[in-house]
Amino acid sequence: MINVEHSRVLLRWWIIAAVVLVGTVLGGLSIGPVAIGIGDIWATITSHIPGAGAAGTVSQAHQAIIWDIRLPRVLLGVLVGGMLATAGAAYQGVFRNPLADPYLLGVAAGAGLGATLAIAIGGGGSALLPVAAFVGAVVAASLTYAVGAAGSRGNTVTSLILSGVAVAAFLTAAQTYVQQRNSETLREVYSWILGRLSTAGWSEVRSVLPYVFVASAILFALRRMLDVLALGDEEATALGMPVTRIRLIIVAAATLGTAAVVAVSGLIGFVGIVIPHLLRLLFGASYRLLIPLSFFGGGAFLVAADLFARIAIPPAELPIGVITAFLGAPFFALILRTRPGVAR
Amino acid sequence: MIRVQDLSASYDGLAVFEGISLTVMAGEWVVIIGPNGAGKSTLLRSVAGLADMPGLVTIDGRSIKGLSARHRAQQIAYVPQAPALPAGMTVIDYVLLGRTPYLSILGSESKHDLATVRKTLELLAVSHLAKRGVATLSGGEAQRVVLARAIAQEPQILLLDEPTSALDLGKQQETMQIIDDLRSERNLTVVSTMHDLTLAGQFADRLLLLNGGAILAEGTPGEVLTSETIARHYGANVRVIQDPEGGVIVVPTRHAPTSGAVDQAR
Repeated sequence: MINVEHSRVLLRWWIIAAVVLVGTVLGGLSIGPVAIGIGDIWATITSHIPGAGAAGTVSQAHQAIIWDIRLPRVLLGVLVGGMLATAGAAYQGVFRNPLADPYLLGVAAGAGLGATLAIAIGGGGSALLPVAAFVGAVVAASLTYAVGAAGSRGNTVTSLILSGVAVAAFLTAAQTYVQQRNSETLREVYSWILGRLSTAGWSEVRSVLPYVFVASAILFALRRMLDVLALGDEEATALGMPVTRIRLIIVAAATLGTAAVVAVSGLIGFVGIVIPHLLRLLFGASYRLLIPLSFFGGGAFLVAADLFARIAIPPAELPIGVITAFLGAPFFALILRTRPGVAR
Repeated sequence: MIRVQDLSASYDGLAVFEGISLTVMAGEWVVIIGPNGAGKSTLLRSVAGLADMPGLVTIDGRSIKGLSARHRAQQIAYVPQAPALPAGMTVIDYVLLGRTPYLSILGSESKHDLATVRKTLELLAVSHLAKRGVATLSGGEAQRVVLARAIAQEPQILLLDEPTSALDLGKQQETMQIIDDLRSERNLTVVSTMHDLTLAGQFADRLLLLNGGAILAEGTPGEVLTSETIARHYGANVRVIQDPEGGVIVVPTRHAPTSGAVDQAR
């Protein structure tokens, strides 16, 4: 009997991923204009768990910094980064295209148009903004799917991607028009497009959490199906998989999750395409492992990038989208160069 | 037993074949031969339930259109001519995909599935490749691994599109022998398409010649592989030699075809 490890049983990667994520989160909570020790962080968090003790020794100011400012922001980073990376991995699998990212099906253009309209009508602080961005993203992706699947003769994957290009071009044109007509909104719109994780307490975390949870759970449950899909539609069908239905479910879950996080964070690029590829280079291409690792990896990466954005040029903040690409791209290039035989 | 009745196929309104009927008995190996574009692959894909063509295909009396994709996949394994070998996927993960028809959509492999796959890897002598990436294998290794995935499906019927086309002579013989051993060991029904007529004749119980939209010859290799038939349908000059050890050998020769011998039957 041979003893073979396969991707299902590689428990140790799960543990390492969880440790990296928790470590990054602790870093995000501890580091800042005011450095706070792990003990204070622990005491503050446990004091909010009923019956788990009190934060008696921690100053009110530190408690407020941890609980009201840093923790919601760090958790939002985990949810946004995790969702973008997981959705990116799922898109790359379902479309068998290494260049697929969470914004593939016109999600970015749709959310951009929604956000621009909301800012033009209601101003930058508008409570309408996340709702409009979410609706724009979902409408754009639905439009892409309707157009792409309508001509289902031939290659559905290619026709969906091309349909996404057409929808995105159209919506971007509309967005540019609205923006030009309301040029005083330019700065607000631009800041949204660059992406940010600034929060006003817990409301953003609360609003995206259900979407991220449901979308990630669906993608996690279907991760083996993504491996079957890697064989192509015909071989997947021959293995008994209902290809069209599964593809629709995966695309819908990834798109909804992406739309929800984009609505609060803006268009943070890079995470959804590079984190899954980085993990592929390190751990292999099986989605059974890649989907869960992408959530951990994307979450940790975005929290670390946000930490850097906060402390690089105090007291100002760098746009997080700039950080993700500026630090992420060279790191990715380094891995690509130093792992022989993977870049082909 | 596979029964195909009155099956037709067309692409963009252009008929590939029309009204084809054939029967393959359980445990039989039937090789479909015919020139390029005759519709061999389409016929195979129709039997696999992958091409929705007018006509009836039944397995043990049940129409494959009435079967769910899962049940169909539990009975029929299909290997295309150029199977996808995804970069970065290991051999063990690849062969485990053969267990898909036995898992629920949300499920993952059980210990039993893993044991089945390990036995299959041993059966095809590819256990030592388990951790290799499928995209890094040589042609012969890849063919064994792809067969292992099909066998892990535990099918009754094996449909193979050009199983030897990418292999050197030795690997061609080896692959055919493996398929034949699997067939007798598991009482598999095998339908394959092939271009190498001698090799096809050495292993097939029966040959079917598909050309011009119809089955034009059917029978034992000795009956189907005649120089006239091959000249007419392939436009090839061959000499068919009786092998003293049984069977026939098709040898290409270099002579201009006698005029009229090439009939582009369409």
